Amino acid sequence: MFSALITIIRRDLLVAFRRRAELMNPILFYVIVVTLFPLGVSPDKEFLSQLAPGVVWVTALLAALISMESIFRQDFDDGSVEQLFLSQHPPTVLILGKVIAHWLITGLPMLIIVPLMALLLYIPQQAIPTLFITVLIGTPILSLIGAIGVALTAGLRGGGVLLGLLVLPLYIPVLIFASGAVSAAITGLPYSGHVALLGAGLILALILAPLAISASLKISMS
Amino acid sequence: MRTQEVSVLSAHDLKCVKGSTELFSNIHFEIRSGEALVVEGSNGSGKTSLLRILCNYNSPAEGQITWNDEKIDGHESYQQQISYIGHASGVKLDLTVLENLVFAQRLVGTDRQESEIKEIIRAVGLFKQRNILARKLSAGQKRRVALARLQLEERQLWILDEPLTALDKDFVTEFESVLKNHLDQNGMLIVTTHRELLLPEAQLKRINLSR
Repeated sequence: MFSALITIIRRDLLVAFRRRAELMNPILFYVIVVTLFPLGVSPDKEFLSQLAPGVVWVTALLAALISMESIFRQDFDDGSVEQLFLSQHPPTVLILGKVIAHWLITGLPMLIIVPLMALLLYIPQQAIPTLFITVLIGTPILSLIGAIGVALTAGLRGGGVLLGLLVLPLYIPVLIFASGAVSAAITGLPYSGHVALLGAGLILALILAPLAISASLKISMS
Repeated sequence: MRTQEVSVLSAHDLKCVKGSTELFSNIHFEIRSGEALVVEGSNGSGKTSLLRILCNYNSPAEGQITWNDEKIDGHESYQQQISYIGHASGVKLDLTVLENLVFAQRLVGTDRQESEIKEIIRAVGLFKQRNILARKLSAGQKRRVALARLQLEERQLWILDEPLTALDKDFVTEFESVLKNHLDQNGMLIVTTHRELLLPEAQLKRINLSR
């Protein structure tokens, strides 16, 4: 079962690597939008560092959303989704593999770039590790929840619009706790409560999302 | 697969409704190991829908399907007996022929040696193209990749939706011998096609959805 997980991660990474142009899209979007804020709002240090947790996270939500579509779109077009359900391995394991691969493609680059974005927005240094941790825990939740939405809308024409309506409200708790943790760290307040809640969210999503995605894919296929 | 056990797939009184139109009703059949079912019917008569119902992707509006006397819905191991090739054949365009087959058979749960896989690639006539991205293959060649997967998966029940589309004459003949071989090894086959398949009449059953 573990080998099946590794196999599907390797396959999806290989496919993603062959489509490098698409790979860069979400992360470029992320960097550009974050850099627009100092230009568009105000380059003032005090002001920006207050705004920063929200900016970093709202942008992360949007970047996650635009990257989500690609997780099942191709599989629907080429018939791979149908094959998932004929495997001897549980579909939930294969689906979890797909989400992990998708996170490695979209979430991991964000994780790497986020300290840089923090500097750009004058987030004080003591808060950067907290920001890093929230992105580490938060982006996999975004991928897991987003995949449910994509699985539900993949069979529809113009599912993209619906996806945003469906998924963004579910992203709100992540936004609240993640940016809350960063704000608390900036002002020097304890933030472990926020991070613990995010962690609980991740565990919950890891367990339940694959089941929900599998059920949604079945609905979309019929 | 390759068991000596005889399995039975039977359908009673199947009915399929898409939206508000009834595609077919009153479909009965039973096939055993070593038998093939050819599903005929005009365009839009519900052939693909029937195959998808038999794969347990959709459920019929009425009627039931049993595999060895057990209902197929909620019968998890049933789907593990199936190799399915639909209109979208499950070939990843951004992988090479070899990669496609290596990943596909591993995901399905068989673990063949690379040499065996290459042997089958040779058999479907794609050996020269084995390291070419599937995107660059012709429609018929992509079909061949899917048919190669079929042979790697070692499943008992093959459900094929128009497998002969885009295949050339010579390869159709070759493919018929693959199908016959599968039936002789106690396999089962359900296939839709507009072309005549040359299979021994004794092993062949037909249903027509247009009537």
